[in-house]
Amino acid sequence: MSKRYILIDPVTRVEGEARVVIVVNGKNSIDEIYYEILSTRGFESFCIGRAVEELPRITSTICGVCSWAHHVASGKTLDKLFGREPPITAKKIRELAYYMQIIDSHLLHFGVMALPDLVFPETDPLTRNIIGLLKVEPKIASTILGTRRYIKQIEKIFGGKPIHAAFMIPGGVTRSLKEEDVEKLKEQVGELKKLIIDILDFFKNRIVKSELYQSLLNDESYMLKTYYMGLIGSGRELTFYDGKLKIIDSEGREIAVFNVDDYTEYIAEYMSNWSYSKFPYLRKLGWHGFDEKYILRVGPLARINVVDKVPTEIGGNEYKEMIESLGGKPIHNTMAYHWARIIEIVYSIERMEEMLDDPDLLSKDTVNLEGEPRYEGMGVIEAPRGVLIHHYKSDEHFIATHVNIITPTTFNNAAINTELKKVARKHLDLTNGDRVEYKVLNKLEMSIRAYDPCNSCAAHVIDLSTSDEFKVLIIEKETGRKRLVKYKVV
Amino acid sequence: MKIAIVYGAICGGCDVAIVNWGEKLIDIAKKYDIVYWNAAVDSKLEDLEKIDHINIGIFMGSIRTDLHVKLAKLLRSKSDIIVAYGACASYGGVPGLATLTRKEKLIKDLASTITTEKIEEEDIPDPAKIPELLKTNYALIQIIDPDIIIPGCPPSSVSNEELAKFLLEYQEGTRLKEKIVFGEENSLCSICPRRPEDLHKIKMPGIYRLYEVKLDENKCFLEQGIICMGPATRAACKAPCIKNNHPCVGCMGPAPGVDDVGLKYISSVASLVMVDKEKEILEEGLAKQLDKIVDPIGVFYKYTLSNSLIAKLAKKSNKRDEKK
Amino acid sequence: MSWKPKIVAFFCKWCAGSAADLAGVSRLQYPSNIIPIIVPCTGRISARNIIEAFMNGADGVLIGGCHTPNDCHYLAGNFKAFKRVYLLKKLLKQVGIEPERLRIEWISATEAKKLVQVTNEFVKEIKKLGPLHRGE
Repeated sequence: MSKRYILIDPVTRVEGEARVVIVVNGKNSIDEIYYEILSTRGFESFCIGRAVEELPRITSTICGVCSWAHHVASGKTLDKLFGREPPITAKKIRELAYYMQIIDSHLLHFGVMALPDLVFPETDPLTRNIIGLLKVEPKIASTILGTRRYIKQIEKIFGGKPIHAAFMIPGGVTRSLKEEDVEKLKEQVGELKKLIIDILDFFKNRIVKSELYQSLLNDESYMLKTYYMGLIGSGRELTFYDGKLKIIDSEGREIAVFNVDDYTEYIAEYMSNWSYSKFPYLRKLGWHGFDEKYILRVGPLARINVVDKVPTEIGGNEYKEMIESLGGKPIHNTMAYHWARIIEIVYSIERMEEMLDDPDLLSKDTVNLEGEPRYEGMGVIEAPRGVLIHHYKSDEHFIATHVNIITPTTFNNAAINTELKKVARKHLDLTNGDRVEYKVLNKLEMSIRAYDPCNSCAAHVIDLSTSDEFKVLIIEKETGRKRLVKYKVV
Repeated sequence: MKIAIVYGAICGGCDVAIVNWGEKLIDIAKKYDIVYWNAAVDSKLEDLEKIDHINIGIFMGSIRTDLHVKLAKLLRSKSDIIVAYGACASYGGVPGLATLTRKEKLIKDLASTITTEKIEEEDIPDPAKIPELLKTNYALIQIIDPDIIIPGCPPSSVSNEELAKFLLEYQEGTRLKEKIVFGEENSLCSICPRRPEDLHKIKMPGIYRLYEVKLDENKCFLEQGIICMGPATRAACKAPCIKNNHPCVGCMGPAPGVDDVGLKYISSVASLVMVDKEKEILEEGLAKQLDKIVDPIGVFYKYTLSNSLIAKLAKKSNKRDEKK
Repeated sequence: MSWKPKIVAFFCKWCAGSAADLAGVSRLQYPSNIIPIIVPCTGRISARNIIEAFMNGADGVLIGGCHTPNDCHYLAGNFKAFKRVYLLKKLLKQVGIEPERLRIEWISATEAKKLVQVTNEFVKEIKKLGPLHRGE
């Protein structure tokens, strides 16, 4: 028997365009699995030549789900390029606004993308979604949809637009907050917090305690013993807006703590011809292919693994409880990403509540125009999905000459590819010829979804092929019959 | 009835804009089956191919690969109504800034970032080959003819309300008499809360870049010497950026009657720069101010380059280079 | 070579337009490549008019207006034209089209000789640049 291919095309309930191709050999075992990012737009190319102060608006459109992460990371990068220290008020407004991004993105992922798998993974694929959830779990589904109203309103106050916001400028933010803004924020944040507590309760009582989630947590195939990287605050606590990068190994030992300015010493990237996304790795270890021993992960689970504490009341307790119930750190089970995400949502809303009482928020001093330009800047932020790095160089007219952006999904790209092989080798029964059950393929997608990949973000590019034909293998759902369809390049 | 949401090259912001319907999504889901929507629904490409008829096809994103062309044509062939949703589908969007960058250059730039250390072409089987990039970025409307165009990066809450209303009132089988573009038949200035002293006699006191000055929270941006795309941009939002003290960047696309934003803007803004000091500072002084616009493409065509007249002219002119 | 550059010239009727008439009356010849279009004021020429000329086959566009600072019949139309042309040249350069294909000159009604000289020079320059619609 010759080789055959199983496709998940496209991977669904993730953001962006991605596909899985499984190569099965004649002996019914898996030769290779590719998690492929299917498109790129080429930001690192077309950002060259732009006036650098436009980059927060331009790079924000790398990703619509974490647009604020790019917007804020870009602004921080410009602070450094212009050599400006933003006033304390600007920093606080940015940090406060940014917690909203974490909550927004995490809730969206949890509700729309992840939850159907944690509630009814084996249901008909066509109802395995938020709409289907409305029938089975009407309360939680409508709570999740209900959060959108508050999120939208809060984001409007900070960013003007809820998606692709407009407030970051070099050395500060565009406008000051008025007292009525803060009052409105307090009200909205209070309402949102109630919903978030409901969601936390649901997660703890209905998901964590479920057999399904427990079996996922105990499934060795959803486990990778890897390196982890994340930001830590000055007290080594959980932080999103600013901090130092910390790397630990799979035993939890600290490997490095460094400023983003030195990131090129630690990070390098591998590029291949089968994905429009690169594969970052630790420069000192080198690229060793998809071997978990050498792989680095970022994101909610990585953050929980690298920080010493989560410094809010409810969030802090939940953090301790999670670690205890999973047997200590580092936690390697990918399904724990969901849990970490919930903790971060809670932490963020608590931080927002705290910060809204800060009188500094109301100062009119929102931008610093002074500073010695460096014509180069690096900025880092914890995006919802993990470490996000922007790095720009400019000429003396502040026109961009080099742009490098490493997104969290790019960081996790190697891990996703590695884990898929484990999951597929354990769960895919290939002895049945070409027939593969959809619910089994969904087990692969669940592994991918745990990382909440943002494939739009990940899209760097290389395509070395010159063929003018492109083929897609279609596997029919009912019969399992395969058809190879060819497309001509236009 | 059936709705399908299909992607070109996207960022996901349009998806979030749809999710931001919140509870309204429930009403829409009562009337329609959402048969395809990668971000939220588990149907695969083969499922989409099997569906004979779709009532409303919503397309998000620009056209960047051969797969996007295929998906756009597939959706058009099955749908009664096609909605070009968002700036990318409508005008090419931010990815359109790569319209005049050759594909080879684009790839070279991405391969030469500072951290890219190792590049290898792996031996991969044919079915695992990824879609091919097209020569350039296109707006959806350059590939197929949509019935409704909803501009915006992403479409505003006003436009989303309008779309929800359309969907809830839509009767099966109805075709539109003519193409609809969402938004008002006016430029953003018409709804801008910042009122210049005399809308027809705005003076720009020079040109300042966004990093140079502290922005006044109430004054017309043009009167502060800040480039604001409002005059050439369709009013299809409630000026949220301006209310947040950030000039308009033109994401709603050309104002009614304008088909090339940059040319329109050059004609109009040029008249405003130092209009009262021309005879003192002369050509030299004016040139010095205009040189502050260091990147006309990035400022004037941030969302609309793909389908612009200037890009068409450049393509005609640059053909020889492409053959080289 | 059979290619002959086509040049669209927008002339203000108060100055360069009259200079073109004067050149005719004075039997001064300007090149036949020039297709003159007389406009009431150079301030009325939009960026779009210029790009359309290029789209429709022009290899070069010449604009002839009244001397700055004080000769414009409508006070400052010439400055408007200058600003548009200046920005448009920047844009052309950015999209890979030689900005030299677009030129603005101040030519008064009496300067027939200057008109002839400018047009000759411009035709020569465009010949050097070659056709705009390359390879079509």
